[in-house]
Amino acid sequence: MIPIPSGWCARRIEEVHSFTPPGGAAHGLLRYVERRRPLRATRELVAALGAPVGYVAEHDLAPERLVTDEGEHGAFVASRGRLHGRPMGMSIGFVFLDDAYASLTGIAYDDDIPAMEAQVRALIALDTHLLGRVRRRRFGYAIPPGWLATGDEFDARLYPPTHPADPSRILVGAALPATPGLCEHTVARLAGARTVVAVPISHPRLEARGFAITGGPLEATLVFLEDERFLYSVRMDAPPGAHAAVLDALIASVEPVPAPIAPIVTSTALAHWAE
Amino acid sequence: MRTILTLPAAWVPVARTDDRVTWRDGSLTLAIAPLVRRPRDPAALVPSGGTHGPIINRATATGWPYELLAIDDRDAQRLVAVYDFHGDLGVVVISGPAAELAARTSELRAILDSAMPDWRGPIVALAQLWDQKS
Repeated sequence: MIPIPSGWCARRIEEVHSFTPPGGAAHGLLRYVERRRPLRATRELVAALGAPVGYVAEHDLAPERLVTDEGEHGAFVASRGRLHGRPMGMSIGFVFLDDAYASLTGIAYDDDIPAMEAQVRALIALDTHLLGRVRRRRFGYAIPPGWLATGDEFDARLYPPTHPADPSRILVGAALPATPGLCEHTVARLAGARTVVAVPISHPRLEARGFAITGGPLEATLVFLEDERFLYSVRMDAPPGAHAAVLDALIASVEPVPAPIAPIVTSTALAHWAE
Repeated sequence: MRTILTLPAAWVPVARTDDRVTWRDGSLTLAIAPLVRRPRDPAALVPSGGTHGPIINRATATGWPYELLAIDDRDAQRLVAVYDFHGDLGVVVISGPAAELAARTSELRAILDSAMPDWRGPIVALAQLWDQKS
């Protein structure tokens, strides 16, 4: 949910919330949808939203990453062009949730374009979903170049380009609430009777622990990173000595889950009931 | 998500839908279907009709297993390859006159052996959300 800008008129038709500024739709229009599926790359979401018939883009900004005040990931995209010769701007904010996304689209004309872009930026940062500050959720990291990535909403499986001839794989789990004993239990269960040795590993911002389980054609390397809220886990199965640099680079790229930076429920949370 | 193949330059794309991508080289047509996650009846992925030859088990250049099947119709022949990419099944069908398929067997085998899964589409890692490459 986003706060309704002061003085703006709000309407809701099915899942689409529309907001018009005090001067009316001639000065701009905001459209907000709280849950959309399926989740796709920002460029695909922008393409799927489309543009008004007759709009000709002249300048598209590359998607900018953002984090909402609530700590969710998102993106901001802006396009300026002309609609039937009249200057028009489209700005779109996305908030990426676990398996869905919210979108806020702003359209404005002429001199109102910069203010609308600023409005969308400000409102998307305030978008609130209350999914829980500490929950199972994805965390950021860089997929090794050329590796194949598949998986589901929370777990990713990464394979080298020559897989399965190269049987290696990397599993990246979801960030889980930090829980005492979770790493030790996982290592012990996976190792069984095999040998476990500590692996030196470090991360610039997170406490890091690494373990290697040896004794088979593939060696399992488990890396656990931790902050005060989350445990981040990565496992690589590979022939001994293979892809060590790939794993190191992936671990170095891990981004902690963003923390909320502001109170997430405001006194205007139910303002749409009064519209 | 679909199978990707390395095709010689003579093959040109002729159609692309959500359902399949089709290429053509002379009188041969090659259709690539989307990946299907663990279907209950994998046999249903194979085109029906015609006379089915024996299933040949093969592997791609990088080791992905696939089954190759020839189907004879009255007017044409189809080569059907069913790939198993860790449970995601991909189907590629090459159709054309039997004589041309036979004459180009080694080339077609090389194409089918080049298959890899293209798992792009569904988001499995946050980095993909901001990926600008198509």
